[in-house]
Amino acid sequence: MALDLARLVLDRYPPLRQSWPVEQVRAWRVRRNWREHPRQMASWYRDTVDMHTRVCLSNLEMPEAAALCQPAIVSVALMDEDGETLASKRISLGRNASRIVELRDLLPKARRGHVQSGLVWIGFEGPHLGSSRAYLHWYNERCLTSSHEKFGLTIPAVGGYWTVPNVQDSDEYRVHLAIINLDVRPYTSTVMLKDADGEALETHIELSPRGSRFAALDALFDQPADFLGGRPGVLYFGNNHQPAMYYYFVQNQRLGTWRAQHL
Amino acid sequence: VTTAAPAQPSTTIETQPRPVLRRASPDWLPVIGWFVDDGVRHSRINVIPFGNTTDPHERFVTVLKFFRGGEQPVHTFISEPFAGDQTFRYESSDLLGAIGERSFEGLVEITARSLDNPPAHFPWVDSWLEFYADDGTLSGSVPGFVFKGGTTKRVMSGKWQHWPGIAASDDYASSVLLLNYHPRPTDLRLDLFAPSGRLQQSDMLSIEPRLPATFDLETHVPAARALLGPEGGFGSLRVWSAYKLPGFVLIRNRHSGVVTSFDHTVPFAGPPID
Repeated sequence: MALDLARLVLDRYPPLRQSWPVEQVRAWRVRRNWREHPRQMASWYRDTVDMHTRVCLSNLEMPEAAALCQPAIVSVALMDEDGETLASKRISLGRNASRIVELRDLLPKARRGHVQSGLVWIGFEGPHLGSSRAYLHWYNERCLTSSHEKFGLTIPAVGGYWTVPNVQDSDEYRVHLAIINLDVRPYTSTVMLKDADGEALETHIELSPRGSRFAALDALFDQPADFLGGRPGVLYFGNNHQPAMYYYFVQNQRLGTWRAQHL
Repeated sequence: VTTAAPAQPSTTIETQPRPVLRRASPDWLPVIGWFVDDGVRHSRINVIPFGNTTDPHERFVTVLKFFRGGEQPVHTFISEPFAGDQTFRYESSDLLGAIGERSFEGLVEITARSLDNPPAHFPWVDSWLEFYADDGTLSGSVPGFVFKGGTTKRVMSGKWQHWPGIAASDDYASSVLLLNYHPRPTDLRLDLFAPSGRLQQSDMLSIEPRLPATFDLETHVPAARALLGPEGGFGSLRVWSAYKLPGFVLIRNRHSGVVTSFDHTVPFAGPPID
């Protein structure tokens, strides 16, 4: 009734559309729409002795279209290994500003240093610009490794399988997998490890909705170093229909470093 | 002049061309990557058909073209056919042997094709480039970069790309690797933002045709550490270039000299305003 009346008045007196109160209502409606339909991004985090995580957010303008860049709110939520929410926070992000968010600081004190694996969900409440992306830092005292989130939360495989291109298992190249279920249903997948001759080992992995897991190769397969025989193998996930994210981390135990890459 | 009626067209000859079968792409697309071997740093190409197919018997072939500044590649390699469940790997030592040189730094164009199927909605074959050093100071793996045809109308411009979380601190240093696949020099500029939005810019820089170039952040933005230091040592990088340049950021630990962060930037995108 009130809306109908307001529209009737604006139709009768069009200059009112440019008035201060109407502009305020319009801006409020835009902000509400951003909040209800944020640009959804997700990634993976860990907070343990050997690895901490920070999220790097930016809101940079493109000079040719500077007006499109507006102050924004970013919501960050952290899940645990089973997909239960541990923490969430809303963060303001001005034009051309960046925020470097230590995820440890968002966690409940009792959980700090004890989250083996979790989904980090990021909602960007602002105009959907490419500059509103997030990168993750996974770091310890000896290294910092970084990659970007995955946006959309409904990431399909592209006709084949999610595949780790080079799998080795030695003190200088030990592959760990971070698998994150973006689905609201449980996720189950075979995991196939193939050596350079095409011989295969198979196991399977299960994740609860929004759950995740971080696993070294030797936690999934018996004696992977012997199986691979010092030559690079490949690994792929048989479930290519459910939305999920995959990162892999190469640990160099001699140097104490991690190197991350998304699939 | 004849008044005879023209001959009837043969029923075996088509008077209209057959409609062309529409596909996502007329051919398999190449991907571009950095390729280096200087005796310490080495590269490896991995082409993974299982990223695109679930058929272990589908046949694939890969063509590699290595560029080092000229219009024509310095070397072209055509693989033997390989099956969908196999992984094609090519080492930088193979290239050095083929060209008879002790080092190489340039671009590689990787075009992998199915011999059995046309390209579909994902018209390139999953290809990864790995980099490693004998002394452990470099470790990285990045996807081949689809240079053309892999973007949609929603991409506003290939001229802007960014990386939130670039480092310039007492502990970490960053460099920017850009690949100029164009047959012409390409100008670029590095814009470094502190978290508060304060900005420092490089001078206008340039990359020669068909070459990669690595730009040390603090060499080209000398005030980088002073800009980011008071705000935690991290900020955001925005790269402008006259033409599209695939970009990567490498982050190095100053104390150990080890590069453990090596991934691609992301382009700006949004409503199609251009």
